[in-house]
Amino acid sequence: MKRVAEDELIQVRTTVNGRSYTFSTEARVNLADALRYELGLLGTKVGCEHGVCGACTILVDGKSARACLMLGVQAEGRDISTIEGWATGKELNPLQESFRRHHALQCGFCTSGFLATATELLRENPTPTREEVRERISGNLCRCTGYETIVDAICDPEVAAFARGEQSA
Amino acid sequence: MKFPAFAYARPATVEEAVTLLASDDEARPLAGGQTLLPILALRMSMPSCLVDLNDLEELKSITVGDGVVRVGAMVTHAQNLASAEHRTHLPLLSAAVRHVAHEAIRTRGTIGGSLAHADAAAEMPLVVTALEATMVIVNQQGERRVAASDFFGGHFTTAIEAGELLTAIEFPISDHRWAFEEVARRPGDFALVMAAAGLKLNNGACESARITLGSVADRPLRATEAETFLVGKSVTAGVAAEAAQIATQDLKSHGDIHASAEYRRTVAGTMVKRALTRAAMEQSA
Repeated sequence: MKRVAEDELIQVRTTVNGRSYTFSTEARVNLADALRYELGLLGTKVGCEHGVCGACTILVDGKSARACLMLGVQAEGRDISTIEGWATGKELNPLQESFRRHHALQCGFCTSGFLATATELLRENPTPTREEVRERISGNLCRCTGYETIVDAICDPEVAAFARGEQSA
Repeated sequence: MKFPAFAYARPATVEEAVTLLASDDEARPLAGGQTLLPILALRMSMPSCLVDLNDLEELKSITVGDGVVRVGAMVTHAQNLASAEHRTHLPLLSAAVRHVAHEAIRTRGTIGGSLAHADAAAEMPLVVTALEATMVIVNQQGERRVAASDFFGGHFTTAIEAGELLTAIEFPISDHRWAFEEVARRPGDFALVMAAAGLKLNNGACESARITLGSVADRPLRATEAETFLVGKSVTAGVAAEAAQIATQDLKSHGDIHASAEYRRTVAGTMVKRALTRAAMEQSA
């Protein structure tokens, strides 16, 4: 792509939660804002806006990434997965349901980021130890729960069964 | 906290990227963006144009040959962490990259980006210094090579000139056994102090030693006096402690809100002692 001036719009084609989208944006707009304001997907939260808090964590081509540390134009050709894609209708997936059951959220602002981080971890290893979970979620901040219940939710046996099923699927 | 406005280009070749950078002194290369984009969000830098390197497939591979591991500048920390080649040939890189930030940052953050940024508290500058790697830098005239010992010029300063691009890092495969130690407040934080030790032993006696300290000065430091001290000795716990003392006795570190200078100097000694002890055990394994 040739040099595009700062106030010029760039057309982006991308896939989010299995659906194709085309939108136009300035280069300076980060991917979290592009998801929220160009595509109306408000489940990805914007916290610190410089990569520290982890609230905007999403999955890009199956790997976790900070949506605030990618440009919207870098979504071109990517396969993106956000919280809007993880429940089936009104039925939460087992990881989300486990977060609810274990009180792993209060205000809920950090939750979509934690779910993205945990989803990636569970795909690699359906039965992580508490220590492995703690290390992996160290890039996500929660100011409500004190983290114990989040670790409980991720280590729940029903979640492990779900993750093993996903792995073999 | 939104990025300032910038022009944007996504070149398809290194040549195009270098032409774009050479045509505008205020343009900056965008690698993984895990450091540059926060800097933009904080308005600490306002480049006129970002030259996005993410389409440059030629910079994304790890190749091994002729006693050298060549790592493209756009290889991500996640790629380095997963690399079986590194576990065999560059165990120090494998050990250190685990400490780089968090999974979601390692997914996009690159070795070239980390080196070009040259944060003295980051792991990759220490690793290239310890392993005596060579930086491959491309400009419009061609390619030039800079030794790690000449690459870092202080905080956030490197030998990369305007209009140039770091394209690869060449690591000579070392016959030393390596160990890495780091203290940070939380997993993924920048190091308060870190050390790498490499030992080549012959019948239990040290033939050659390399000790590198990180996050204690404006660039990674080799402890050459302590390295010389170790030659010919058996690296017992006592000898390792003595080497650590020599490595840190003249260290003028800095204090900040995270740790005082005295704390850094003391912990640096402990890191060197532990790294040497572990490297010596690696050898006998």
